[in-house]
Formats: sequence, C-alpha cells, structure tokens
Amino acid sequence: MTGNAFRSRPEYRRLAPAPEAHLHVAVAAGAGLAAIASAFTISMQGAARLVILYTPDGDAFDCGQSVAASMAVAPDVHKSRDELLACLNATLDAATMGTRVYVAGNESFISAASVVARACGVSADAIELEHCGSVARRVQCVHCKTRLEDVVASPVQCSCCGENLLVRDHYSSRLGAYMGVSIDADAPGTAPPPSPLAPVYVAEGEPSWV
Amino acid sequence: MGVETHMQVRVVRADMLSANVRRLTLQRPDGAALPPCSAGSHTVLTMTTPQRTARNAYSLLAASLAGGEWQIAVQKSQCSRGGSAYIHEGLRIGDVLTASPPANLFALNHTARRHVLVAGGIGCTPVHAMAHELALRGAEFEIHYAARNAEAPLAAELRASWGTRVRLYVTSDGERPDFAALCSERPLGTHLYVCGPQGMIDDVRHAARLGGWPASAVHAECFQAPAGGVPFTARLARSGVTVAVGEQQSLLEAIEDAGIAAPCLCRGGACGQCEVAVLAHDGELLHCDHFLSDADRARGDSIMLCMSRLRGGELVLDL
Repeated sequence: MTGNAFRSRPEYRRLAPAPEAHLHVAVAAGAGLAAIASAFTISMQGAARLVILYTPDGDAFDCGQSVAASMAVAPDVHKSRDELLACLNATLDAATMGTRVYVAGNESFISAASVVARACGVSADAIELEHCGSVARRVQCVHCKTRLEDVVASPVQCSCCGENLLVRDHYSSRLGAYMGVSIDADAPGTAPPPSPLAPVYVAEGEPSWV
Repeated sequence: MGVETHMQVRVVRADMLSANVRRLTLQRPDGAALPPCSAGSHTVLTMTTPQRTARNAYSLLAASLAGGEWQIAVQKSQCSRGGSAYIHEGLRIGDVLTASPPANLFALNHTARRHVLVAGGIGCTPVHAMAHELALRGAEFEIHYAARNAEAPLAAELRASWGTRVRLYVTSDGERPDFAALCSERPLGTHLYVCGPQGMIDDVRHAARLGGWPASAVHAECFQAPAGGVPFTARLARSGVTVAVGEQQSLLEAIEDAGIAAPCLCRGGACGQCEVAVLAHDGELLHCDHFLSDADRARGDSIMLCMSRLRGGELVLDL
C-alpha cells in the first residue's frame, strides 16, 4: 500500500470474478468495457449469474465486435450514465448477499456507481474497481456543496459559487467525490493556472475474500 | 491497558442460569456508577485464588449497557485453570474483584440492514446484549442459539423478550443450525455475528465464504482459554528478567506473575495488543492466536503473548 499516499482514495486493480459470488454485476462506462470484457470472458464457467451494464458515456471508445463477442454475456447498453445507474439500482434492489459489483471507467463514473451500490447495501469490500480512461474525477466544493463532474485539472472553478478550488486527493466514499477547497481564500485572485491531475494509484495483487 | 484504569467491583448478587452457568451482578463499592458499554464488550476480571492470580475476559450482559451495574455469566469450565472454578465455588456475595474498563472487539455494525446473531453455548452472552442494543435502535435481527439442552442459560429470557426472532437448537437432540441456509437469500447489507467454539466459527465462516459474503459482513468472537503445553523459559531482554512458563500457564500470565505489566487487551489472541518481538528462540514457535498472518508466523519475528508458546528451551523477547 506504499504507493497510495491517501488512505481515503479508492483502490483500483485489475478486475477478476470473485470465486464464490452468486451474482456478478459489472458496470462500465466508455473504455471500461474492455476491462469487463477481459475479466468476464466467454470461457467463464459456473452457476453464478452475470449482468453487464454499459454506457458509452461520451468517451470516444469503440466497443469493437470482437470485444463484444468474447464476453460471457452481451452487455445491457444504456444511452446515458444516469440511465445506467438507475438500472444498477433496480438490479441491486432485487439482489441478495453473495452479490459482487465490478466497476470500470473513469474516476467520475466509478464514484457515481460506487455510491449507488453502497446505498443498496453492498459493502465496500464487495465492490471491485478498475480505472480506465481519463483521470476525470468528481469533486465536491466544500463551500457550497456542489458536486462537479469530470474534473481533470486543479485548481478548478466551482460552477456554482465561483470559488477557485484546489482539488485534493482526500476522497469521501459517502459522497463519492474528492474534496475541493478554496486555493486563494487568503489572497483572492492569486490562484495558479490549472495543471492536470496526477494518474490514479493501482494496487497490486489479488483482493482478499472471506 | 494500564492497571491504574481498573476498577474495584463488588459482587452484589449471584444466581444460577443453568446447572453450570453462574450470573454475577457487580457494582462499585463506592456507590459510583459503572460505565455504560456497547454490546459485544467484555471486561477482564482479576481474581486472586489460592493457586494463582487468574485474569479472564467475560462478556457484559444486556443489563450492563446502560451502566450503573454490570452483569456477566460464567460457565464452569471442565478444565478450569482456576478462574471459573473460583467464581463458582470460591466467590461470595460481597467479595471485591478488580475489573478492567469495557473493551469491545465484537461490536455491531449499525450500518447493516439486518443482523443475524449466532450463539453456541456460553457464546450467548454477547448475543444477549446485542439483541437489546438492536431492539433499542429498532433494527432487524434474529438469533440462532445452539445449546446442549433446552434449559440453556438465557434461552427462556431470550424467547420471552424476542419471541419468534429466536430459534433454539438443542444439540443433544441432534439439532444443528444450517449455516448454509442462514447465509443464503439474505438481503444486501445483512451482517452475521457468531460467538461460540472455534469449530462453530470455522463452520460459519466457511458457509459465508461459499455464499459469496464479503469478509466485512462476518464477525466472530471465540471464548478460548490459552492451551497449556510443555514448560519453557522466557528471557525478557529489556527487563533483564527470566520467567518460567508452567504447563497450565500462558506466557502472558507468567510475565504478569513476575510483576511485569506486558501489553494486552482481549487475552484471547484476537486483538493484537500483546504482540512482542522475538529476538531469539530455540525450538518451535507455537502460534495459537487469530491475529498474525501466515506470513507473519513464518517469519517468526514476533509472538502473541496471551495464547502462543514455545516448544523448546528458551524464548528471548524484546520486553
């Protein structure tokens, strides 16, 4: 865990089906579909059910025919992220213990999907995350509480209150967002120009089961 | 845990919950209230018997949650090393013991949507407190209590309080909880808590794993006394003291009897407080705890004082 300076940051790793799950619910946005396809190939055996939800989500990712054909089940395609999350909610509402959730996409998508899964009663250690695509993340402005989607640089201006926010690596799993706090509160107007966010940390090794 | 935080407690009432389980009610001799505690908490009582000073952890029953007075229920162990035998035969109303502040290594997860409580034998004691705490919060729960016979301690009281939420399994009639069924078709957000013999805990964990449950949803507490073994010596490098660890005595107890306050908390190998670095040893380290990983044990550079032993001559500790 030495690479991850912030313990609150989500841990990302290569997805792999949990050996004992009875239901696998895999959700992907944009480039995340490749990660799901690679984890849940057609050769996957077992009595467990598999549900794959996908939204292209604006990322310029082309889900090639060969990728789609190699997957264990055909993904349920949704036009928008909101539609996918509503479907995820409905799927989990009917699910029982023994369900594992897998999320692949950029951090913004991962945050949104994780919050839905947690709200449905899935615990953090039953959710696997693989980061794909841009470093775009969700940020909450601590001043006005607005959530900014797909933030790629720091500082970022809050679209609601106009504060210039330092985008911190401290993450709230309850809110599904990183912390954004005023960078020039003591000296308004002195915010530095935005610089791109650092790449995410990817954990090594297998996740641990019961 | 510093001994200066321990409290004097007087036995004000005692009654038998079954043929071999004695319930004690404890209050402070100065009339002050004992502190409240969360369900799953235990206290470590220090008892000075003619044979030795015994220190045993006991779960706090439901009456203890609000503080004021505490209640514990003690099973007379067939191979008592002095503690439970003393509580059953030696202890009288009015006697004063030393008690540690409550510590909880078996707490409820109040974000859960449903709680499945499983008790084996005297493991019913923390479950008794948990049911009360959950009821106060209006949480959904069920109790599965496996006991030798129908007159099991607290069985009647649990049924009277919680009705159909309680299922009793009389093991002498061949009844056993079906752990696979308990772990199946449960709503998301269910948590399971098991307190009983190690074999029961292993069976529950196995069923939960096969059911695809995540580790965070399964909680266990084992009441297990340290196993005895061949005597050996322990040299405490920093204190400059060498102690003899007897056959029926744990390494922690031997160190405490030598007047050294070694770090400890649960005395059951679960919490990690008593982990001490091993500087040298001849022979084999016998790790009997539930805390160190396989890799930790293989490295052999630390040991849990409360449960583990050496099969050999001398163990040198950084203490």
